[in-house]
Amino acid sequence: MKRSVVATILFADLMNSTEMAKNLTLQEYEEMIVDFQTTMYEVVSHHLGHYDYEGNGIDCDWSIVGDQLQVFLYSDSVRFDVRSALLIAAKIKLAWLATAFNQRILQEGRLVSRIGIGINCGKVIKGVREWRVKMGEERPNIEGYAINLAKRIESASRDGTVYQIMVGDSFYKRCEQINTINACFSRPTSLGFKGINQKIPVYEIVSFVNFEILSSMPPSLREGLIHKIEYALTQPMPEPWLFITLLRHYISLIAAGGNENIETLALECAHQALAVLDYKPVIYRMLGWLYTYGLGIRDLEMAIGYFDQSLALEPANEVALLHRARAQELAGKAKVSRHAYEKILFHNHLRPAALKKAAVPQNMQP
Amino acid sequence: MMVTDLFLKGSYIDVALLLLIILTVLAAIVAQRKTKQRMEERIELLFDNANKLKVNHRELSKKINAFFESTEAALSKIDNKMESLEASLSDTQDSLSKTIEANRKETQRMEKKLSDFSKDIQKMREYIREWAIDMEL
Repeated sequence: MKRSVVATILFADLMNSTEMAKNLTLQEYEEMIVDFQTTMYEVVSHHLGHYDYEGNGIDCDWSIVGDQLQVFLYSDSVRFDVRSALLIAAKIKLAWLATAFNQRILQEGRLVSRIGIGINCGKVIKGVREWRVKMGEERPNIEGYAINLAKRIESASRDGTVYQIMVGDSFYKRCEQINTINACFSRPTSLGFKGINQKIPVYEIVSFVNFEILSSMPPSLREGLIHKIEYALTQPMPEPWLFITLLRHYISLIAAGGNENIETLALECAHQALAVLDYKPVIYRMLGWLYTYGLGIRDLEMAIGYFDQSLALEPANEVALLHRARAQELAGKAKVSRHAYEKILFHNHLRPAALKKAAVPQNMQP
Repeated sequence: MMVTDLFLKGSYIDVALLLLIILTVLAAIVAQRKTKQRMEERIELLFDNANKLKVNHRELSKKINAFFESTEAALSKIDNKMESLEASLSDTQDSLSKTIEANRKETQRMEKKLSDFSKDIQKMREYIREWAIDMEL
């Protein structure tokens, strides 16, 4: 039976694999493809199981062919699928970096081949074809324009500079609507694709802060992963997005009661990230967070300074406004803090933390 | 010399002596008879006494037997009661052990459940904390 569903489509493939096939020996190429397929299988199957997807074409479908991975998510919740697609994208990139093949490439001082990803949302037709039934398969075919578009968006990923995860307009808009996804996107680039008459806006993910990238990794891949990220960042031309993932990990450790050594490592990592990443507001906010909540490095003036720098680039960023107000409150600047909370309400009159603080005069607060 | 000769030819002294002897013999016989009679009486008395004793002994034996029988019956009753008591004690002990074991297992199960629940709560707390950090970065 055919039916129309809204699917989140993810395509991933190894960049420059044709060129690599020319430069690598047949044995090396085979080793790379086996590593790629094994890693993709481990990450995607674990992810879908971990997040309770039923699989078998019911709410998702996926396959690996050569150096390409395609994932279709069509559960009852598009929000859930959007979040899942982002997590899968970040996790396959991280897992690929940590493979034995790439660790050897890194140790030899060579450049690791990267994974390019394209994600899009849209209506597709899901139906079981008669020929599939004759073959003894019940798996549905997923077809539609959104899939073709996702594949073309993926081909633009080699032009990316940060995550090299490109998304279509439909996916971007859904992310913007979901306020529980901390992902930031580049300005759109209008690209013309073969077979599509009009130019299509494509966005690159420039920041994706999510603790589950690491915590929901398959246990077999989690071991030694942080050391591998740290090592990769010491090599020439590291992938910039790794700084954000590593910093987020350090922040988790500090929030769980980490020591001063971690705080120092986090500060070093954040300063390196500032030098590498074009999208800086998230790093300023992380630095502000470290100077506010890092017990050994606490410096509220520095924290306020970093939140100000973040706000200079994104004046309406509620998170930075909220942190700055808190830091000012902790620094004993009652009036300024109250004013800051009121400013948050100006942008979002329903922000609970600001509502509470702005409603009660500072001198009457406990 | 024959006794008749003595009477015919003997002196008075001889006769007297003979008579004396006869009398002595007779006296001895009488005494012997008396002694025999006394002996018989004594023996009879002894028999009587023995019979009495025998009767007493029989009664005593009967009483002892009865006593033994009743004791045995009592012992047998006690034995029977002890057996059932032991059986019931053993049953009670078994059921008590089973109950204790079941309780121990139930307690362990509850303990594990509580521990799992506490771990879940801890995980949830960590998840919320991490999620909140994600939303504020």
